Amino acid sequence: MMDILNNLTLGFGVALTPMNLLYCLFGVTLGTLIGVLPGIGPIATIAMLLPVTFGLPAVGALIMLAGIYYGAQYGGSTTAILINIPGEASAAVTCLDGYAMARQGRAGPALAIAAMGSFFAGCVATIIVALFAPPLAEVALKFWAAEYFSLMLLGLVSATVLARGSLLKAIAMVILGLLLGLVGTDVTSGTLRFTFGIAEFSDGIGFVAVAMGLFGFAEVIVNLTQGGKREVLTSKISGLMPTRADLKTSWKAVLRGTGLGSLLGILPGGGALLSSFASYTLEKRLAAVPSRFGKGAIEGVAGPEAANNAGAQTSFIPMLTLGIPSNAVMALMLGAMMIQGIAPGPQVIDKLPQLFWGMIASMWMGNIMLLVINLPLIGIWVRMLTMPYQMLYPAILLFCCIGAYSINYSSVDVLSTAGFGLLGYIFYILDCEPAPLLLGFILGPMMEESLRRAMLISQGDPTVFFTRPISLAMLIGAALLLLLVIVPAARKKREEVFRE
Amino acid sequence: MGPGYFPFVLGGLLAVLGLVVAALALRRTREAIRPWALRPLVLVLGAVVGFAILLQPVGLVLSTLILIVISRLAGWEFRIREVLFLCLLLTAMTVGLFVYGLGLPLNLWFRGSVP
Repeated sequence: MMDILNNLTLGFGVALTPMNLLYCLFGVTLGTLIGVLPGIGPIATIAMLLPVTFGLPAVGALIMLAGIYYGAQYGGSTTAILINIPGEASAAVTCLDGYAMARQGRAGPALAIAAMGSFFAGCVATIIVALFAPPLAEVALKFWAAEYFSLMLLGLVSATVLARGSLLKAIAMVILGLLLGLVGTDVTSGTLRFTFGIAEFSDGIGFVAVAMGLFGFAEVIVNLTQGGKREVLTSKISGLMPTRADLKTSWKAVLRGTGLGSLLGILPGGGALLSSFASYTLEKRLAAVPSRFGKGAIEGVAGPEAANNAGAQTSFIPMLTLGIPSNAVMALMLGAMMIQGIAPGPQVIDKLPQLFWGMIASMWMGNIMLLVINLPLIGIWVRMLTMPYQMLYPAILLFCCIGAYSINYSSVDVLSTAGFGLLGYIFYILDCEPAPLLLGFILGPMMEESLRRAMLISQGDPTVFFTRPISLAMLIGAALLLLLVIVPAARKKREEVFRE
Repeated sequence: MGPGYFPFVLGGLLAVLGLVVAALALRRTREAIRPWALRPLVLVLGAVVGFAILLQPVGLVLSTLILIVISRLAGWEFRIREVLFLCLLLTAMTVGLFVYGLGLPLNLWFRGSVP
């Protein structure tokens, strides 16, 4: 206990320096902004800002990027409630009851309960990260190459099982990502792989190019094909405060959402999106009168909004302690760490305590900032909603282009980003989720290295993965997860959860 | 374990998965793939490719303007005044933020000219 207090003091010392407060404020404000603006999400934004983080100190860069992710969870609910379009994918379920409340003239209480629920969940999740990450890292420090390989396999399998859409396609996307991650010079032998004679690829495909192309450019193209106008319910915000009855019906939903979100955030493949969907389903199940849902039930806003914020923050646990990304945003955070020259893994907490504890303290500061940014200043964000997408997307494209160029001052990077934009659009046409590909891309080189090391230590004996108990347990876990999805009953359940 | 081992295994798995997906698609009732929207695809990616090619020879300002105009053609309702406003605003922001603010070594105009 004393340890944690000491560590948190260290963390607040880092987070409260003026520069880091500024990075945090910038991150959460930008997060709220892109959360509010439909058509641009945290993945594209973080990808866009990656080149900028080259010049920042590591702690500041990560504080800012983290702020964007959980800030977007706050902002996303505003759009969902006011215009029935999720500003951020995880706010999709908030549309159902939040928009219904807005149509009844109760947009104010819906916005307030979303922000307060998110704040409560954010505070709890921060404590959970502080409590559980260090012991988990300690366990992980004892892992050998074999355990690491099996852990990554388990992580990728559960990420595909929990992803939306076809399981087969998700696995194929992971494998494609792993392969793309292997492009470039092989570290062990120095052989060039899959470079097709292009000199720029000998260092591997740029992480920024993949992320910006798949999530930035492809998203812009998809949004432009859908087009459309939006109707904003701004005139109907009168009085933010929820009534006593609202609070009474929603506090339990907030508690349940926080618990569920914190748990699902830690699982690989989890995070904000899954948490909010699961919480909505749970609230509907538990409700005395389930038919109220979809017609303005406040629990249907409170639960998922708390859950997505909790999930967004606890998904940092596997990323920081194991170096395993649980979703696409965490893959980007890992990318940002590698850009800064930090090798991800369980040693990060011990070796860079100011980074780890500084980030945790900044999350708590960020949640306070977000409460202020989102409640009293809600009027400003509502005005942002009227900003037409056609004014926005040329700016997105421009910043992506300059960002991609500035990595190596090379046009080839911009061209390969455009290539991944095309690929991303093809994936959209074929209904393939690009997120698993990004996870594979990050893990590809690490997985190959631990596979090789494990085989080297065992002198070429592949049974090493089955004779070491922790490794075996993780492989069995991965196999069970796959079986679970293939069994028809469970598959039906999975589809049901994602449809709602 | 040579450099080809892991890619070979992955490639094999991917090929098998591809066959399974294809076989399932043939057996099931036809599920239409989404229609291509060529206009935004070509214009958006064209604008980006144009920017990449033009940036070094003609400089940041002109290539930014070209990127904005071409990409803006991909949207709906091309209003001249709105596009002019976008051009002014974004070019000023780009030059101010990236060249003067972050100090990126980008030439503003044609190659060789003084920024």
